[in-house]
Amino acid sequence: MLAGVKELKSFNGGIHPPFDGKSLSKNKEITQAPLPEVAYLYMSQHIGVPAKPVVAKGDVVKKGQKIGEAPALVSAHIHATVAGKVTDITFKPHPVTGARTQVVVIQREGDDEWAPGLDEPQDVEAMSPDDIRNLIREAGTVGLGGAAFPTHVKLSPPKDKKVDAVILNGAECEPYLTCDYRLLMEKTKEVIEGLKIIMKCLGCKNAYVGIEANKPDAYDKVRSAVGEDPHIKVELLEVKYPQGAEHQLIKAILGREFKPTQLPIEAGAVVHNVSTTYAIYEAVKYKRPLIQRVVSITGDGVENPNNLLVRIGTPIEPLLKAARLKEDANKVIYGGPLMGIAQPSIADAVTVKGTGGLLVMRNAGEWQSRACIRCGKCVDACPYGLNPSLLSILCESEHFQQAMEFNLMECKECGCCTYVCTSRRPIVHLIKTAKYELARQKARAQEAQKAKEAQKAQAAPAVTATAPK
Amino acid sequence: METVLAALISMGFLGLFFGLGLAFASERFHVDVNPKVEQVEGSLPGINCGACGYAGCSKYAQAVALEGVPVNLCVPGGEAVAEKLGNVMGVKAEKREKRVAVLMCSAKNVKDKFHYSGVTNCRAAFLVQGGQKNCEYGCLSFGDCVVVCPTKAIKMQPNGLPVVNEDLCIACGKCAEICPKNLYKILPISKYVHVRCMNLDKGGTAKKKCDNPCIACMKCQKVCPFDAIHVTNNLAVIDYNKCTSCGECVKVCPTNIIRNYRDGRPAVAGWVNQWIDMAMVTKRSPKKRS
Amino acid sequence: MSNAQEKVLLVTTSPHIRGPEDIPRVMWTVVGALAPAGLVGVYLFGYYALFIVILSVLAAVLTEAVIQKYLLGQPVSVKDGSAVITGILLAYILPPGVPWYIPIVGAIFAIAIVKHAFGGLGNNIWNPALAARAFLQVAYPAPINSDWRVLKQGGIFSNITGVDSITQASPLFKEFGGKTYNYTDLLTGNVPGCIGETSAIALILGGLYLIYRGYVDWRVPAGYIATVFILAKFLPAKIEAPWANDPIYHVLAGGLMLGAFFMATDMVTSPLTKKGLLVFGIGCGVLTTLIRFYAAYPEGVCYSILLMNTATPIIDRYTQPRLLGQGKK
Repeated sequence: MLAGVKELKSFNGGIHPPFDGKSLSKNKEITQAPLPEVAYLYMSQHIGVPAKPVVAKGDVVKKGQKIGEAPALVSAHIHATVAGKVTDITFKPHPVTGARTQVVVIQREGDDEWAPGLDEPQDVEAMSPDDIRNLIREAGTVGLGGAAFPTHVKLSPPKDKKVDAVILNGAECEPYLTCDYRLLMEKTKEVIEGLKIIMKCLGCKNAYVGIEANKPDAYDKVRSAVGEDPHIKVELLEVKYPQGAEHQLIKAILGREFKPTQLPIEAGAVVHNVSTTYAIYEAVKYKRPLIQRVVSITGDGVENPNNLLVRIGTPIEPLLKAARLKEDANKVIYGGPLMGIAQPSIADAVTVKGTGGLLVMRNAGEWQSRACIRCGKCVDACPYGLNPSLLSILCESEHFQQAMEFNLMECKECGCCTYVCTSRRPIVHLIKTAKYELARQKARAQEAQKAKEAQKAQAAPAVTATAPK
Repeated sequence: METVLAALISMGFLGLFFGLGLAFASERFHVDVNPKVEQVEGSLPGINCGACGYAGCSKYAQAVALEGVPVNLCVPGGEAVAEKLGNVMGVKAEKREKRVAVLMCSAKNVKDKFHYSGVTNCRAAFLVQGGQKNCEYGCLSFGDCVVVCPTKAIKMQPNGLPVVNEDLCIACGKCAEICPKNLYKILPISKYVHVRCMNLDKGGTAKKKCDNPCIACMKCQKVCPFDAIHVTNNLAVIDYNKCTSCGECVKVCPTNIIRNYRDGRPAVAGWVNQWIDMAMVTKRSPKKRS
Repeated sequence: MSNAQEKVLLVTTSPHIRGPEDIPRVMWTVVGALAPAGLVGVYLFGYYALFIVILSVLAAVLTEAVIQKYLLGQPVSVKDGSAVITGILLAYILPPGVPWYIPIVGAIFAIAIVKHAFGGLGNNIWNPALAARAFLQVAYPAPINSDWRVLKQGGIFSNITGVDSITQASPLFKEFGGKTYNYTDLLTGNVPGCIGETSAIALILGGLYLIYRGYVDWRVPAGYIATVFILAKFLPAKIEAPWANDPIYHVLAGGLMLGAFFMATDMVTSPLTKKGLLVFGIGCGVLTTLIRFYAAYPEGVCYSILLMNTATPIIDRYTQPRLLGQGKK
């Protein structure tokens, strides 16, 4: 590793926590988690329009049967992850967004049997890119790195944009998480196969695999799995968060830059992480919809950290109990410690497609925020070239418009600034609040505009009983 | 003597010079302002509260003078200002009823779902899993409305619910805008019976989270003589166009969330109402539990 | 679902971990890095210098505590060490023989007026210690400007008057008749001067440690010292001293080292970005040299840093970081 230091590719900014927690679950092989008795399937487990339930209360469903239909392009189907009976279709707070979301509840019954037409080996060679795209769309595959962007959209680049590089994201830069690492170690061939499917789908000749330098064994494995293929290059990357974010990965591997609000397609690249690529492989090669994924259950709040193959919609309580939850654990996070989402309760939370890790923390800290002392560490740490110090001050004093001028909307909330802040300021939280407030202001302005137009259409100055704005 | 004279002369010349300069500038760079706009603006209170729906008094003055917007929109000025504007514009000011902000939550004993830590305002807390309170529809008690209220009409009570002083409220709607749970409604002051709850949960679930929820028992809907109250989505909603604030529903509501602000009395001074409201919040809760 | 003894979890927004550095850690490390210079000062000027330092620190800490507790009603944050730094820095830039009330008045002015009147830690525009020094220079010109002495280990609380002290001219004394010191003395600090500014080597050690720890950006001291070095070499001097155009002498003498490593690098009052810090350092260097060469004061460090503090917002405005993907090369 030392010899290769010079060749490590990287980007500007970023952080590296002294303890990255990977050692906890790094060497635990992936095992199948017990099937859930009741699966709770949210109709919105992706970015975009929520799916519409196509089953009714009382229906009997098979494993892999479609229960939620995507009503738009930027959306994804939802499939039953266990065979059983639909006992309820209701609304529950979403574990990621916190908003009330429609959820289909399935009580497990009978054998764990695939729905007809699924789980059959396919002939990938004979497929056209559109066939592949369709299979992926039908499988409800989304980006499993956390953001859950529908994969088929990523694989349908606009006609005028050319993709000349597919990047397999094996960086897994979030501390603690090891699900992608385990997949790379145990399913190396399948993942590389998945990468080739993506290349075929996009008609792209070149692919890169980016792996952080703290996973040399995974690097070797991928190297040997790729073999002599001249089109797939395996790159060793510097160990730094957020190395696995699209912008940083593309900057490190291809040396191309694009704005934070732009998509990687602007740089002629498409990035998929390991879990997604494996899901694509499963979807295309075996026609298996996305009903399970690898979840790292880790952190100092569990005695037995492990990597489990978990059905989507599984309540987390039994999973944590099986990993021997410690008494004094006080924080449960979906995802890693830097971008993960803290859960309000252990009893109510269920996994969703984007849940790559359950991080349980003991003695999770609270921080007393103080005035910014302008140490400048956040400016150095920001991988997107923002000025978090200034943004936090503007957002705190609710000068949202000025904050917009300093690229508030370009912030991806990666958390580097807040991690390094010596004044312990909740910079990301302030920025999120500002974005929320701006979105509300925009919605209100649009509403007011509509109301004004409606009033003009009526041409009568009607005095309404509602709020004046 | 000489120095005094020199000083006087030089200062005098300077004064003359600058005076001429200013006079020239005011002629040369004169901006035409519609005299009507000026007149209208002069009659407005000039506190730029925004309650009329325009960004400040001068914008509203322009709208009145140039676009023919109704003259009765100024809330703090009330009828007096409307009349003045009417005189300026030569129209008759329609009477406009005073409106006030009403908080549609009467949370009692709502426990925290989790321990929240972070930016201490309602909107920031709302972004973290919808807020720390067990009732996902209710007040978060950080008091954004108290901060944003331009007339300091909203005060936070010790029990964690804000209360609106109707005397001071100018119905600018800022509290309604800032509340992430949309708990404020701006309503005419003559409507003083409200369903002060926004909970859409089923009765049993709602009851577990709060001592004062709407449990969708339908009693109010049955008793209403004007067909003004309907239970939809597990929540009683008043149609204020039909409601006469007769108070029949208040009598039957088992959880005391439908409340008559003034117990049938005519509109009195705001502080009396406020006092009544506070007394009701502290007193009129079901004591069956303990 | 199960209600039995459900855990109350802590919920915050991401990120859920924080880095090791926080304000107390930064501040106390700076205090540690300032210690060597102080030790040299006490060794050279006697225990009275230590007495001045302690007085200054105590006055600063007490003022901060009183203001936060009784005037502002804030939690008292003297434990974070920022007031201690102000106290130490103020004492370091006072002559060793000042009367005892000078550091007290200065510390109160620094904390009450320069720091808390502008909003406390993080919001002050000027470096409190330097602003207090500027204030003292105007309010008490006699003891501040004339008492350049070398005191040899007097009694603990003995004032200059009782001690057999040697009055000497400051190394930067411009008029004819000033004494010139050799580089070794300037490095070790064996010269007249303020309590903490004489020993260049102790200051450089402390400064380098701070750079190593990442609390100080090298661009400020480097830009500052390099600018003074270059300008001192090439600017036509109007000083009738033999060291007028000796760049090494300019860099080592006076308060330049203390200013470059500990005053100009004060996080609160210097720019945010690396580019800005470089501009800031260079600006300090230019002003210092101009004051030393062409103004009435022998030393320009204090005022040059204060002036650049004032310019910090404008430097910040023009040195915003470059957004990723914008205007790429």
